[in-house]
Amino acid sequence: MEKNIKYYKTKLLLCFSLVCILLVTSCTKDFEVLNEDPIRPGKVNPGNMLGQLEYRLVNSTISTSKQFTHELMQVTAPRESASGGIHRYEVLPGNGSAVWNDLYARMADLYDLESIAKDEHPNYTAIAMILKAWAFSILTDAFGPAPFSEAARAEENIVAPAFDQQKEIYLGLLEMLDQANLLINEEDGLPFSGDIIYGSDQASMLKWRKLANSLRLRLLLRIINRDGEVAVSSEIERMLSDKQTFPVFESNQDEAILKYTGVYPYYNPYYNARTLDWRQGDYYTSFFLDKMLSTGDPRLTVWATTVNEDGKLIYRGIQSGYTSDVAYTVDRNSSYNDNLKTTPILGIIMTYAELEFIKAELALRGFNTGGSAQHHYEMGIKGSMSQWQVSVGQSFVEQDGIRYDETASFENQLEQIITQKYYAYFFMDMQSWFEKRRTGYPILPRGQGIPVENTFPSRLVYPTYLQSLNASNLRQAIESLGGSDNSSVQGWWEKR
Amino acid sequence: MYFQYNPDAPDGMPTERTLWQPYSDAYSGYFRTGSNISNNVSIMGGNDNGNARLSFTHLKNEWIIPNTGFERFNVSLSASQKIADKLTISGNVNYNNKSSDNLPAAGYNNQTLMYFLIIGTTTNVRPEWHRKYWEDGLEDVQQRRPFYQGPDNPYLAMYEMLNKLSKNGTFGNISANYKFNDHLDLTIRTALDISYEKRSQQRPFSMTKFPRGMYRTQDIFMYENNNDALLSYKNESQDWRYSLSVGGNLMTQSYDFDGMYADQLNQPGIYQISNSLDPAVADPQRYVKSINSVYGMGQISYKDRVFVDVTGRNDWSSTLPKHNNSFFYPSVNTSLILSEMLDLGKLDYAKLRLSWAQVGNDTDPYQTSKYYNSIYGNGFTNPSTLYNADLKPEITTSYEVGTEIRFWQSRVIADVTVYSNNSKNQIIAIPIDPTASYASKMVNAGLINSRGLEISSTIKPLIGKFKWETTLTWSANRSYVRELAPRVDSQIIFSRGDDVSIEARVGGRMGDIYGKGFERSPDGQIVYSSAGVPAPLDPIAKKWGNVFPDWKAGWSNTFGYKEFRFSVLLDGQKGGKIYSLTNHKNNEFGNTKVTLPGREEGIIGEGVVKLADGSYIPNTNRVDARPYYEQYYARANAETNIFDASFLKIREARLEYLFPNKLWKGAKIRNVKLAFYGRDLFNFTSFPAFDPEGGNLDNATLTPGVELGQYPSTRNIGFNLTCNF
Repeated sequence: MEKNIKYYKTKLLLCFSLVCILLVTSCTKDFEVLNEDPIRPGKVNPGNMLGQLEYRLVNSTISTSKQFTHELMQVTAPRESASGGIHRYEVLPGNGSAVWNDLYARMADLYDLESIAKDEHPNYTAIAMILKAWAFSILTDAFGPAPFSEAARAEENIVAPAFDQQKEIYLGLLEMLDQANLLINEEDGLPFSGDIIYGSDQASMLKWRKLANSLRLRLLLRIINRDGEVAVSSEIERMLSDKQTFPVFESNQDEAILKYTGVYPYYNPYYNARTLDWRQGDYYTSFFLDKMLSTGDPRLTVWATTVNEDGKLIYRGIQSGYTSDVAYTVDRNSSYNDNLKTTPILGIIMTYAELEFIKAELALRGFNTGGSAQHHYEMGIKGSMSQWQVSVGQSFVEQDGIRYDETASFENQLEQIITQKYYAYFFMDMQSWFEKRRTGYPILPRGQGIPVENTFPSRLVYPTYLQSLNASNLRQAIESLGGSDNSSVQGWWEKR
Repeated sequence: MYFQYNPDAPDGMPTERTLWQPYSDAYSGYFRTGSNISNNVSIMGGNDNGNARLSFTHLKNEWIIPNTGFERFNVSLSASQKIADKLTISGNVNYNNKSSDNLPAAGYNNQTLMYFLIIGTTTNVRPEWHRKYWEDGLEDVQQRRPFYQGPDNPYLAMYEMLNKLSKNGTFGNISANYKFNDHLDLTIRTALDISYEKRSQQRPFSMTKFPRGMYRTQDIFMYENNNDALLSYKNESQDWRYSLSVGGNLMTQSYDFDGMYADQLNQPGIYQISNSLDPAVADPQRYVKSINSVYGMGQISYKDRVFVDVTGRNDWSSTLPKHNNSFFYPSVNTSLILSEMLDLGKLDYAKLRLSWAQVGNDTDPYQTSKYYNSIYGNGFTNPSTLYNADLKPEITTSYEVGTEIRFWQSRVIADVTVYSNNSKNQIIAIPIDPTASYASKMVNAGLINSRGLEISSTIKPLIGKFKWETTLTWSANRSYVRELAPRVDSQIIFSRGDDVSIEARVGGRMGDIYGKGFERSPDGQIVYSSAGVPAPLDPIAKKWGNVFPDWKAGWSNTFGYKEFRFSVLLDGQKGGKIYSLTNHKNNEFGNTKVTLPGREEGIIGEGVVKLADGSYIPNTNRVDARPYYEQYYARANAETNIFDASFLKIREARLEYLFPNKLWKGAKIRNVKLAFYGRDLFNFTSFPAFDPEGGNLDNATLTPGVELGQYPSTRNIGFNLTCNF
């Protein structure tokens, strides 16, 4: 009897467990459906991604321009700086991490856009390739070796990408732009729209081709010192001689400027900036202003504020690289004009003016650009004026200090071109710094407060977290720089 | 002599220079004395067939920043009734409500008071001069910042930047227990936990972060349902006692979040989503997950001297991929009462505990495939965390050995525990190199081992009329990272820009703190630039220690005499490192005493200068104090901004008096107890920024090892009155 009861109890326990297990496991059938996010989509169309991507890319490059390039290239200087600072040629990891992080952060969308559109809508793929080439060129020009061939491949389980040498990156980018130009089918347009750089009209895809080729000319000229090691001249000649295959910017209508609509979300990123941050921390240098003042450059009225001096409104600049005891009073010198905070035309990627300056230098170097160096130089200056919505007559480009001197030495002509190019690079990522490193122009005065051991930087230093997250590849990259992650190491195209 | 603000002068502009005038309330005047008032009433009763308990609690908190605090109500009822010979039903229900008209914001950012105190004011500015926070005629439109245009006016923050909350929650369960006989019973239980929470944040016009104001709301609905069935069998024979249970559980959890954001307002001072200047952005989030489980437990004991507990549980989780969603985890616990088994001489009692246990865990929903995030309302972007379609459950295995001994008529009790936990396949979003295009990746992180030792001892030296009981505790823990994920060498737990990071590197300890230090010459001297300030930092980040303490200890003493009881608790820790941003800022601004030397005559830093040929000469350049200290204590210089976090605190002192019951003869009151107490009375530490325990409360997550604008810690003094009827 006792035994029977025990048996019955064991059986009951067993049955109960069995029922439990059956019940519990049968309920797991819908687990896969349950684990699908009901809100966030697993697939999107290319038009959904493009606009925010372009907007965020451009915002980071113009912000780098204001925070880094303008200070280094003596467009502006800080109001107060007791020690250190870019204007004293002191480069810290923090100076480069914003542009590094921002541009690489956008690669996920760029690579994804490139691949999801590949089969059915190759025009989106081409746009992704052009923007990628643009972003990578900024990264390598600023840092030297950088992840490229293994970048943005986390989905293939590459969580610590190898760094590529600048030369390899350049060869890849030239190839990428070549392919993008050929991939574009102008008639197809962009069926999901989404492009906020050129819009979605009929001519927009032709403009993307022009941007691809103009960028490609920029890159080829950048590596002109390596002609021979890489076939630079022949590539330039091939492009210049075939305008059908390689259309480039022909007017301000073609230039790549993301126009901030002033309607959510595409506001000018500075439209809400505090006065303290916008124009009370930095002031234009007298180096930058004096040349514009002496030539009556009308861009000054768009770019700079005036100060009241004995009842007269004047433009006045400050020194760069000053000693630690100097500090300038708030609002007593010219700074960024408030209209730049709301202007639609600040989203600069690449301009028509730059292309004309590129052609001017190519003409100077003996390439057949279809015009003289002087012609392109003048078109460049006028192009920059139109870009900033001011205009000048022919007399402006013929006056002393601007007039192009075809009889001057090669170096002097180059200096003239690059100096005007420098002004045309206002708010364009870090291009004026790259060109200064390539050509040596414009010649910048050296402030008294710059420690003698500090040299003009040739590169940004890598973000510190790479030492933790990608240590061995970083070590190899630094070895290729000569053993030290140092701002004075020259890039591959920079050595003359 | 300085021109200093004078509230009586026109526009506050003085015409004469005066001696620097510090005010003692320049910082403390922004705070007030906070209070916490709590009342609780409980009623209980019962008979042979059932019992019930009702409890009511009310808490009102007024925090140290004016216009902040919260209020909370809790009501709970539990009841149990035998409704038939073998059937008992019981249930309990809890209702709670929490509300606040303004919760304080924390961290080092433009919305907190500490940010203002660190960078926005000086000792010669009185708080009341900031009290009027709107410009005349521009109420609701333009804040008044009488001195520095940087941080927001702190009173604007207190009275206009409001973070509101209202939460109603209820949880409870209903169960039925059927006793088949004395040995076998079945319990079926269903439990529900739901809460509804409304949050809102409002920001006025002209605020730094939201120049056109802001209004955001979040509605959060949380739901958890558990259904259990448990069949238990127990029995005993002469020396043996044993029981066996099997059960199952179905759990469903959901989280519905509806955020609406108006990050620019059309009209000032109107906090409604419909007042949004731009199309308001909706941010919906939904999470649902289920876990089904079966489990069993068995217990057996022999003669009350050997105890063995065995458990086993299998879970099926909806959050894991189908091929990995089932996981089993058992445990075995043994206790041996050695004093019952062996003759241990003078020992009154000795017990040995051995345990081995595993715990399995799943993850959050939707980690196993890719989903796009929405941005700017109608755009989409790739997520920043890479999914993982092959996630496995994480299993933590722990081993523990402990012993407890008592002697001297049990007036000395000592307890020692040693443990070791191995976490295998821990599911984390591990940061990866962002050049791989994701900021982090969901992984099963290899193996993390954590082990430690805990000792406690209680001694009762006096047990007569005058009583004294003293307890000492001591513990130490070390966690080591054995493996992470393939090709991942380090897990960054927290980092702040390029300044400092807290990491778990393979082969290292969890919580190692890394950062840069001075450039040093081969013989170890600090290198100075030719301008006389420390040269740019050595770019290689080094380890400066570990954020977790070497050990922690506590000492409590309780004294009793007649109806009086007095107790004191001390506790503290040895070691641990913290990076302090507050101290960095104060040093950079020259607000601390360590930056006093050289204010008049300048400083010649002790170290060397590197010459162009690579050789070093002693530094002889005199430099002003400001650039010197700015560079010496630069934010990125972990070497000068990391401090030892050792401390000793008088954690609590308490004096209690139990009124003799004869006092209340006639009345039905009994056990009236009055206590005065003080908590966190004193803190002895060399850590420079308030409290080494304060840590970093940025975005509401507490990270050990980093201090970012912490609020000063508080000393609590109060009294407590309890009585029974």
